[in-house]
Amino acid sequence: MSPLIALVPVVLRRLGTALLQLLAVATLVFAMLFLLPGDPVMILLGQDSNPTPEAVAALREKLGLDRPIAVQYLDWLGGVLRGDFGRSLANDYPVAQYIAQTLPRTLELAVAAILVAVVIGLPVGIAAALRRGTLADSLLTSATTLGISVPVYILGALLILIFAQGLNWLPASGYTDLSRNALEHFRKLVLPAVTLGLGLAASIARMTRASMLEILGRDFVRTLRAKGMGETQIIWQHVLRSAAIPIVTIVGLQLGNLLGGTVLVEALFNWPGLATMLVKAVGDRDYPMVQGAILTIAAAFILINLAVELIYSLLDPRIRRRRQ
Amino acid sequence: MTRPMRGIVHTLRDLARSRPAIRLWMGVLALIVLVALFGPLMAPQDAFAINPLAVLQGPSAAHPLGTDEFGRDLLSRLLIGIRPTMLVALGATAIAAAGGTTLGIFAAYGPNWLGTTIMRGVDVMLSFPPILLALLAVGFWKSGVSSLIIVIGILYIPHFARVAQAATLQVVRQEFIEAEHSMGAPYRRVVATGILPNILSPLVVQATLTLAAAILLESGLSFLGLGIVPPEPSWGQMIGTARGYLGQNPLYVLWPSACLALTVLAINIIGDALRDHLDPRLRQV
Amino acid sequence: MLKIEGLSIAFRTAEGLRPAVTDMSFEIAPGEILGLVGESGSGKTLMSLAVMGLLPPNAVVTAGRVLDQGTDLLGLPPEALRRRRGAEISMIFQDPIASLDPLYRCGDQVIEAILLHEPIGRRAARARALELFERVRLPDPARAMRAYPHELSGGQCQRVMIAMAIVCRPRIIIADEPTTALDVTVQRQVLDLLRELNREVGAAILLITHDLGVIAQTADRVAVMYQGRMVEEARTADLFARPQQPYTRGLIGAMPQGRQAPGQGLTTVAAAAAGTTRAIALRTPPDPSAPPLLEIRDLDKSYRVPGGLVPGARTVRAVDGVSLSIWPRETLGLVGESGCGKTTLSRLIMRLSEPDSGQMLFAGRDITHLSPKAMVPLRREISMVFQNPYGSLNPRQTVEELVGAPLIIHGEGDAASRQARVARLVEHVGLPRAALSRYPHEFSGGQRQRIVIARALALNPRLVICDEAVSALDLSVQAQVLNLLADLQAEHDLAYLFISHDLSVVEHVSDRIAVMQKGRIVETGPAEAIFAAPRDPYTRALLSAVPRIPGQSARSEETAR
Repeated sequence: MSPLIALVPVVLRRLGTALLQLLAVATLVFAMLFLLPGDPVMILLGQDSNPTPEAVAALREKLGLDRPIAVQYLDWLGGVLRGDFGRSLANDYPVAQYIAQTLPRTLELAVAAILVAVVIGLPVGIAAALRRGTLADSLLTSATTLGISVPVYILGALLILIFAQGLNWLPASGYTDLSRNALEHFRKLVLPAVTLGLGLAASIARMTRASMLEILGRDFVRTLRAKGMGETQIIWQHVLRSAAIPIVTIVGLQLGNLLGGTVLVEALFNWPGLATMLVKAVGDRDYPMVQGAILTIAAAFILINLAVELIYSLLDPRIRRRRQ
Repeated sequence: MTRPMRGIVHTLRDLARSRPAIRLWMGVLALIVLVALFGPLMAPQDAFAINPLAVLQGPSAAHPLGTDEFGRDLLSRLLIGIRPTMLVALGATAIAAAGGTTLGIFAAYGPNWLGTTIMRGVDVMLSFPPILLALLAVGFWKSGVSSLIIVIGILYIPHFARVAQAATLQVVRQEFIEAEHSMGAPYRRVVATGILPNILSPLVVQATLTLAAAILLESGLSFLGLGIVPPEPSWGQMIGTARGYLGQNPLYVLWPSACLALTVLAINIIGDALRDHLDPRLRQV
Repeated sequence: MLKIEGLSIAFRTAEGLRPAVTDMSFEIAPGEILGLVGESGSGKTLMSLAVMGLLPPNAVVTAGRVLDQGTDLLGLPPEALRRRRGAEISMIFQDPIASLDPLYRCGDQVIEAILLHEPIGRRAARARALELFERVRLPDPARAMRAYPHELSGGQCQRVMIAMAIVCRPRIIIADEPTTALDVTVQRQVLDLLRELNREVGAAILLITHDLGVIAQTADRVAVMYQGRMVEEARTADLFARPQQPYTRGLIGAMPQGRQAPGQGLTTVAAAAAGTTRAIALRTPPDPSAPPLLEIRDLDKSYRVPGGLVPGARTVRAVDGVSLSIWPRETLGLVGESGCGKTTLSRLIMRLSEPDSGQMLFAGRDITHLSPKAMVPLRREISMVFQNPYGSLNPRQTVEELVGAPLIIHGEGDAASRQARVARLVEHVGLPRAALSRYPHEFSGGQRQRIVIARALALNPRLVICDEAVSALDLSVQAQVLNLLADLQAEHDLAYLFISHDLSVVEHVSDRIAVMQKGRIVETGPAEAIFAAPRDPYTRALLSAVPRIPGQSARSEETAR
């Protein structure tokens, strides 16, 4: 049986779980307003202000809060399915359009960061594992510990101080549209992407090192040596392939942290992405905007995890074929 | 529970003995804890005293580390700024550990349907990046130390539950648990003497991870201006403010950054060493 | 020909070099099989890795030479040695499934081995691999070529490993415990295959094992290792007929051979060194006219294995219509290969899992559906000794807490009386009093099993279920524990349900034997009768697969007559 056909039931089952997760997230996002203690309308209007009863009633009606909860819920779910997240409280602009505008910017930042992370993290991890116990290994390993310990905004501030203010090689912050000035666009992407990517690179390097060492200790590596295979071939053909499975898993899990990290990096570099929009919406108590942003980010996260698990089952015949 | 606690102390002592470098980092961490406990007594000046005549100054005799945008003494603010962070991190870790361990043990040792339900819930919780939920809770509910403790604590319950569940599953598979059942031991006893002491190692390691993550989360929120409420200082919040004055006083951002990075680094290094020390597979090689 | 001269190996430790193998010398001629036998920690595996040039980084050769046709392998540069590995020296390992890369098809792994040494092209290599798969008698060789290791059984994977080892017609083959992970019937087939192929290939085979039976069945000559040194070397028949050294005598004496004679225990190494034998207590024989202690009627237990592309589950009948009885003071041996359902049966008796149907009576009382609470007093009467002495003791408890656990659980006596009882029990199983305050990891496997036995006896049970209780132990330690179990049975009038895959052990201890296959009891009867005249074909296959040492087969034939 072709491995791809064998994958179909796995894919279907995982897809089902992902849909359930999305539904749970959508429900949670809807319920959030009601889970908060106190009257949601009063919260949205701010605790300190003293709104007129007319303003309260107007907002209540605008949000549809005067209808029964079940109706509100179904309405919300229906809207989500159509890609309609309502309108911003601040300027009555459709939330979906805001998202359509800001999501690509955040995705661009995230993808660039992942590239940085993989390009740096994998070689560092492999190098450290192959030189286990040497000075080079301890230096690389210490660097990765530093990498996971330093908060992104500290790293970012440091990079700004050095490369923008000190050396004046790159712009400190901001965003230029690709269509307007491509060079400037990418120059402004470098620092935030590197900032965001380095932490993930450290995680990848640590995981790569650990799983390479674990695989190198397995019985089958001894068999390969007994066959007369050279170390280089053992590592590139066999060990890395086995080690890839846990590495892919950890990268998938770390992407959640990466999405979290964008919140801070976008703020630090004034990058007008989805996370910046979210932080602003939270500050403005612009509830529909918050709902839309959260749902989008969570959906992205769920989809990434789905992709990771599918890659995982492609890599490992034990999972792929377990059900036969 | 006294014996497990003694076990942790023993382990830490063994660790310090076997790796001299770790002693240095334990020293760093001890210093930070001391500052967290006695920082307000150590502060040379009033950390809240505004001086419009000495704004954003570099280091001087009067202000060894310089001043902030209101002319407040940076050293004093630094010394009292660790306390809210530490309180939040420790409190949140305690909540996460207690809640997560309980859930994890129930999930692995309880009836199947309960385990499935708990782990599904954990999966859903884990599908939100923690900082997003924290952002929401703090933004819409309220900020401050106690709410941060509760929010961050709850956010890390699923992480603990995962670790506890995986560890418990491994322990439960061992024959000594079967032996307890065959002797007629009640569940209470099996959990207290069989499971808990044997899943302690991964939990301790997870606790150090959570401690570091909670510090990062609190300072991240404070950096965004959504955590510790000014004028009360916290390191993350100082960094957040200082980023606006990178040009005028670069040292302003460096002091709290260095302190924060050092703290997290110390915790992570000790956590790594603990994991290597407690994992017999790693110890053998 | 392979010649080892004065080989010494040591481990690098913080305190300097710690010798592990000292001054080993032997040679193997082409076509010959030399058996290297020794217990765990004797240094035999280290020897084999040194020959391959695959010693772990913390081990070093301190003296000696390994000569292959006059060339010292130890002096070769790494690249030259690598080219010899697989082509001229090859190796077969203990755990065949783990020894193959899980992510590659079995056929590709063999092809890879060919292409490493002979660039004959992928097509030709594939044809050769397929041919070899037929030669090692893999059922459906074409399927095995496509299969991933986890899709084959342990025995099949070992055949793949053997194919891989002989594929380049090496001059030397090292087989390190090649059958230890396999069932006895499969073991027989694999060993026969190895012998037969060696007649064709003509390699010098170094067969490393802890199992004297395997040696007796396969090797031409034997070298005995003990604590890193060569103790004795002889032709196989001579060694078993006239062992010269006390250690060898002790080892052979420790092998269970035939039924236990009243009052006569297994020889231990210590006893052999002192020139004495080990006496065991005489017991009152079981009374077949008395009512049985435990009676099992038509017990069923099925598991649902989540399965298939189609939703739903496959059902596996782990215990299928089993009926058994055990009388007081009797030992019932339950024998069967891995996966036959014997452990499921013991769990059912302990009521650790619920039977689907059937009945269990203990001392005439129906315990099949007792509530967990009502079951508690009965747990005093039945206790268990588990297979893995490393896993069945909670690593975080002291011996005192471990042995005292049943007393605490059942609220027996006060603290002082419990303490006294635990101390008596610990001494009773032959452990020093100082053991009380220590933790399990401070003890050897045999000592841990003594702790487990002391705990099983704490509440004066009437029935003890021994589930593979000696399987994880070295031969000499196994003999000690079997002697202890015999002593305790006599003193406390115990009945044993003795579950094991090892026929010689079961034959040695049992009054009656039940043979289990695929969840069913295929044959029950007195031990002598089963061994002399097995009726069921499966029992016959099982018996003929058991490796016999020379001299023993003659004796069992006598009893048969």
